[in-house]
Amino acid sequence: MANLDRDRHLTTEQLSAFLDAQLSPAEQVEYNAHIESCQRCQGALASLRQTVALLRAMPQPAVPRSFALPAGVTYLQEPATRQGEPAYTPARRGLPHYMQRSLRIMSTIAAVIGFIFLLSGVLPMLTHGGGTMTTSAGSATAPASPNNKAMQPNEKATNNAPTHTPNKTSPSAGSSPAGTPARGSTPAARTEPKKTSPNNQPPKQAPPVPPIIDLSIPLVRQALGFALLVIGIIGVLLTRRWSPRRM
Amino acid sequence: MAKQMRDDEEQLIARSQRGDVNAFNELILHYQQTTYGVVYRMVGNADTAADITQDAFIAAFRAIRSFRGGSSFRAWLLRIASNMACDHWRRTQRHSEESLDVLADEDEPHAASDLSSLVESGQEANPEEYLLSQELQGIIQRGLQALPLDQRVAVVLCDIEGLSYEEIALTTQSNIGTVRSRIARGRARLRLYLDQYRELLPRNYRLPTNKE
Repeated sequence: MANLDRDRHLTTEQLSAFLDAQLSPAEQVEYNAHIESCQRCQGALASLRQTVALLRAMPQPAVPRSFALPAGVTYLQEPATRQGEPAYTPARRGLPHYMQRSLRIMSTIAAVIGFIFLLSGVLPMLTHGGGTMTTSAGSATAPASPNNKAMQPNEKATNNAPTHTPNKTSPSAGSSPAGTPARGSTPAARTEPKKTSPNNQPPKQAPPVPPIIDLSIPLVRQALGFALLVIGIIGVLLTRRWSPRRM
Repeated sequence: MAKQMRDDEEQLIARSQRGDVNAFNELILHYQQTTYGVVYRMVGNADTAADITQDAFIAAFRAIRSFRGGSSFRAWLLRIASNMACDHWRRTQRHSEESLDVLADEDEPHAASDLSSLVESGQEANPEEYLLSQELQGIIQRGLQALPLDQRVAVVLCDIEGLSYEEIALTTQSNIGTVRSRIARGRARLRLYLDQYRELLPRNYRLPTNKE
């Protein structure tokens, strides 16, 4: 409170503790010396002391009745708890709650980023059909869906991605010098799945790569996205299993 | 003497832990004044305080097996009671703006003729022994109820029930530093509140207060 004058005046907390003799002997002496020489602190201490005196003067309210428990009634007694704590919430097992939560949030974020990566890798190869979203999701969770056939080449391409271009295996593939040559190789990578891809999807003009991702090679994005998505889903599933009662 | 009482208390607690209601009732008789007093000062209503106190004793009897011997039974009991009082307060949530309303409503100065009757005279020699008028008691009670719950519990336990900082820390499950700070903030706030009614206070209470 009186932080501004901390150097020259005692704070309310110091005065209050002084009043209750809750200070170390050295502090008590030091504060006492200050108070004796400081009119302002004297006034503050006096008013605080009077507040306490008024509170102490409050009469005890008369107990309206006896609170004794009727002997005839049986009261269910709880078993002893370790904390000595009445009716406390049961201790949570496993990870602490905040860790579980942050893990779940991080997994979700990883899954979302992975999904975006995957999508951005897939999008240039597919038309903007309505099925794009569902197919890429289907490839991640791997249940057989009618559109799964369309995804097969993509997954194959994902697996082949590192072998095709050696420079893509490096984790720092997103660096800028690789940008322009990689852009040149993009059509090549895109034509490859086209060989096996269903014929109902004509290769349209190259849609602009979403600006979110620095990685300009769709295959790398797919691989990364798939991995992130899998990690994210595993994380979410694990954290969910640990806490059946959610939040 | 005190040791004798403590031994008795430990025996009563042990019997209560085995389900002996009569033993627990002896403990109730011993602590009901303090318990009711704390709850009453916290909620400010006799009927509500009686209900909460009764519920607290029932809850305490049910949970008494988790009371560890050797620590303060009073603090344990008051923890249950003050927690229940806090729960009740939060549930009913007397609009927290009430304190401000009171300040606004009663701003007009009281008639000077009333003032002398508010405090019984003859007690000023000993400031610890004011006889407070009903009106002043009401003002102080409202001031208490205007405090945040953590500060209210600390101030009631310290300045009204006279518990030590250590026992308050046990009761509120906090450390001494927190207790110290809550008591100080509660007192300062109460001082500010009572400042509105300076004319009603005993004469030697009226001192130059420095606003912080």
